[in-house]
Amino acid sequence: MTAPPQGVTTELAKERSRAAAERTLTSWIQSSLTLMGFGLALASTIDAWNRHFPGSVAPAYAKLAPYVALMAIGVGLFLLTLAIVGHVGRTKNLEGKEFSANALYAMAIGGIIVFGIFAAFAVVVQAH
Amino acid sequence: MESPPTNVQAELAKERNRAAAERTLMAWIRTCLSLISFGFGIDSIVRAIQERSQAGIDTTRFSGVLGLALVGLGTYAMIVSASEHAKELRYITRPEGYVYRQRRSLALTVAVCLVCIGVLAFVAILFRWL
Repeated sequence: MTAPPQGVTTELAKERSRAAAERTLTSWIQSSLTLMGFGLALASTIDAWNRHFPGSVAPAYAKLAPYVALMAIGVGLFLLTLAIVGHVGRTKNLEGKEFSANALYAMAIGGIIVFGIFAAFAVVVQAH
Repeated sequence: MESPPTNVQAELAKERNRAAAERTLMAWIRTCLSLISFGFGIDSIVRAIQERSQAGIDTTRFSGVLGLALVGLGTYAMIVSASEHAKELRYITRPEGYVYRQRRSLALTVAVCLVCIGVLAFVAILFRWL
């Protein structure tokens, strides 16, 4: 159930808070995009370069690049997931609903752990 | 001639809301610019490498799909945020009182889409490289 209207200035203040929450999440999107973008750009360019010009990338870099790329994408995904959970909590509270982010955080962290186990399993399978 | 405002506090609050809406739109412009330029950039770099190569193998598919998804997401977000901004300005200036409306968050939609794109890219890199 949502709270009844509480006067024009309070309602306008709620709208400003919602806009502030929106801007906070867009900032997190930008930060995560920078991290994930770095990972994706590194993976794509090194992969394309390696296939077209074999041997031109130092073996140490060629071996390290996918791990750095995956780590950057993973950190970006982790931060963005936490930001989404925080945003949902803030907007629910604005609507006058009691909201505890604990369950959502637990779900998000559980999802990330499952994803990490899946990724580790894939690495092991590929390595053998 | 417009009648003078009766509630100074409410009028000042409306002005703050207008400024907040403007800052939100600017935040969206920066975000969409990042999405579009990154999507376009990654595809261009990989295509440039492809054109200079004699190997005859196609490495543009992954970066092409990724670039298209990001450009599409950035364009969608820009259109929707501009439309929401216009609606919000109209809602603030209407003569009736102001009531906060619950509505779907565009930032949430874009963030969830970006998480999906990130997970797909992560899995693609994992199986392609390792």
